[in-house]
Amino acid sequence: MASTFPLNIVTPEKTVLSETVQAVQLPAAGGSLGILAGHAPLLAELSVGECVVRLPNGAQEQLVIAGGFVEVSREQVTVLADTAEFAADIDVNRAEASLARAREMLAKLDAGAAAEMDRATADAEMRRAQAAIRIGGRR
Amino acid sequence: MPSMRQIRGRIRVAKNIQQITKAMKMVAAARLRRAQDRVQSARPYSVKMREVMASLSQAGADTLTHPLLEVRETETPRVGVLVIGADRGLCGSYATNALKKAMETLRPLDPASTRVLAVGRKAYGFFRRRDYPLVGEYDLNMTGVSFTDAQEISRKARELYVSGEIDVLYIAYTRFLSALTQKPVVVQLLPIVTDEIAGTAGDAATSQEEYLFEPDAEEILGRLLPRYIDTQIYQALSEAVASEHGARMTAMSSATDNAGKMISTLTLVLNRARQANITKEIAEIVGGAEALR
Repeated sequence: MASTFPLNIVTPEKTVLSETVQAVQLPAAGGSLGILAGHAPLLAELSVGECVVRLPNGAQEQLVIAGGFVEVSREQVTVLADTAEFAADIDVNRAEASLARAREMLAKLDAGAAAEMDRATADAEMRRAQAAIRIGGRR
Repeated sequence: MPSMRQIRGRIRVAKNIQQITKAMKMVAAARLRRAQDRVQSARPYSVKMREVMASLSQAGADTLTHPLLEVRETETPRVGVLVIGADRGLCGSYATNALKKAMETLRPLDPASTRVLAVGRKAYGFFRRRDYPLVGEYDLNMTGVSFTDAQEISRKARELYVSGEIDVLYIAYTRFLSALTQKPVVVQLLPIVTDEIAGTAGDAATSQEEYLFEPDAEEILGRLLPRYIDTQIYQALSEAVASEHGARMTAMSSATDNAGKMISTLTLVLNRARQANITKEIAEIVGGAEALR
């Protein structure tokens, strides 16, 4: 059996996942990042995307993560995400709606008009919705 | 001596009020439980955040600089205060205490050198009538503070600080100790006090390790610090909401008790008046019969 490590995924509003896992794959700012037990201590910034958690029994959990950080220490891995949602909890319709809204905002910004969001927020929102649709639709 | 009719009217009023206060107490109790859960579930994130900050500062962040860490040496620092007050009344002394604490910081200062950000209807209502420049007004979502709300406030506060409009930022809020006790506090938010963070993060994060950074330490710090402020504000908001519900619950509970006491006193007065009336009538009948003889 492969070695495992404790993984905590927390968002400002709640603890999303706290489990012993075999591996985790995260959307780091510089590209996808895979972490196994015994990884060197690391502090990395996360972007928007999907996070795959491999449990010791071989099962996988998928989440959509938006922004935040990951801290890998000798003992454990902590993900501080802005938002994290299990694939099973994703509401594709809602994601579609927020995608449409984010696109609209971006279009407004491109046209030079005032919008309720700034560019970075709208962009992050769009990518989050896209990731949610991708994962949620796969179910 | 009020007439029996008047006493009955007063009893009815007291009963109606009691019903209202009882309902408000129940609502506050239910919301308090939810708000408390929220405070609890926000804790792991802020604890982890502190740990990460501590590891970062150990990994040589002392050499790193960031606008949010920079302490400005000025003779008369311009002070910003983020006041989190009550959203509604009928919560006992909660609203007054929160504002009083904020005023302790503000009073010795020249109003022109201050900036006030007020959260909660009672708080901005209070500062609107005063000389302090109110630069932001926010409503509190009493049924559940969202992180997005906190981020909005945080963004504004950071802007003020980075642009140099203020040199130091305090946050005045009410710390939630229990349903019965809440304590108004003022805490410095900006510039960030790093020693304090390292101190409170505990020993868990104090292992001497060399961290890898991606992209690099400076960039991570640049992302982490604003997020840290967001978290602090979120924590303060959720504690303030829990405190307000707690205070309201206590206030309404004693109001209900007082109404009950008033009802029983009035009932006693009413009964006595009725008894006196009956006695008087009997005396009149007896007197009348006596006269006919």
